[in-house]
Amino acid sequence: MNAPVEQQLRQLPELDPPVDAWQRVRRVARRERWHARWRQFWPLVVAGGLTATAAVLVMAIVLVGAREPAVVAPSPEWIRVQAPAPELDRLQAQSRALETMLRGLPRRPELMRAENAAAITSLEDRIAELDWALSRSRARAGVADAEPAMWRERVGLMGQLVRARYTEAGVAAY
Amino acid sequence: MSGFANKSVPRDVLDRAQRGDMRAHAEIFRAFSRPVYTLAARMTGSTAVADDILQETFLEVIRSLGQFRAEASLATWVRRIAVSKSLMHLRSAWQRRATLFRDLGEAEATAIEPATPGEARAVQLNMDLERALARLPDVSRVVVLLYDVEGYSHAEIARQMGMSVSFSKSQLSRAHARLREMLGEQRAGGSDERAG
Repeated sequence: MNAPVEQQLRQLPELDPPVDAWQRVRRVARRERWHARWRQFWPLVVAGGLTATAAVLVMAIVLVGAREPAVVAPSPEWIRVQAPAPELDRLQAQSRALETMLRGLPRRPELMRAENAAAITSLEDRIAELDWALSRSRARAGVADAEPAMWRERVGLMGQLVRARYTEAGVAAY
Repeated sequence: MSGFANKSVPRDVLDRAQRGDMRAHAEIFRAFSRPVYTLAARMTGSTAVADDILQETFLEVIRSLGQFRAEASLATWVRRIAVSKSLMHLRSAWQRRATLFRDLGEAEATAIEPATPGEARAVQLNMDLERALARLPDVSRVVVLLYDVEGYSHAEIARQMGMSVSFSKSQLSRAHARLREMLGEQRAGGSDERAG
């Protein structure tokens, strides 16, 4: 031991950090930046999403609720009456508008409440049955008379489906 | 000599890092990672803990470099963060229960490969000193590293560690005596006093 201990301490060699140390620092730093940006922008994102879905819901209520006539149980007499073409056009336009709204909603979440999922599936099944019936009605004389009633029912079911999907999307956002 | 001495990065690297450029941060890491890791390993007595402190220190650098003003050198600023992180670790309850210095000697042995008998002797002396340092109580070890290696004054050490200047001086004196005793050094060499 030749040199004083203080001098020896100053001459101790440096240690090498692990080779992947920077990769780990960079990974965590990027994650922190992403979280920081999300914290900064999430109120805007959520507000925008809620505004858009609220607009969709309002449109759905206006179109379906305000214009939808009271559901009347079809009777043979009623079916025989030829619906005025403008009413059929109107119902089909409402149905197309609701289809557009439905496509505008977020994709379905992977996890969802069982009761919502069951209700949505039931509505989709009923709409599929109606679509099948509508496609047949064009090919069969007599059944075509029932088209306005089926379109009316389709518009009602589509409105319910839009509301159910909106509820599901709203729950998933939290 | 402190590993932070004479370490710096070009001004444009600092500017780019302050704007969030991660490649510039990588250059800062390359410049200062070894002294940060070395200081943390010797202060805490564990290379595993030093690895964590290295990461925490540079994450803090990335987060806070925007507020760094070049009145002090970047090396001084980075070292202050590393010292602060190491002291926080030493103050933690977990650390008070932990066994000290389990792996430092082994890590040092793999870091240096002697080529000549003279170098082998120097490495042996270094390892003896590392082990002796490792056996010091936490406070004494930190004081001796900050004073002898990093060049802190007693006033600065007292402020960092929340103790009095006289306590820092007495810890240093005891640490030197204990190190000499452990290293088998009979004579009392060097001075424990420096201005501040």
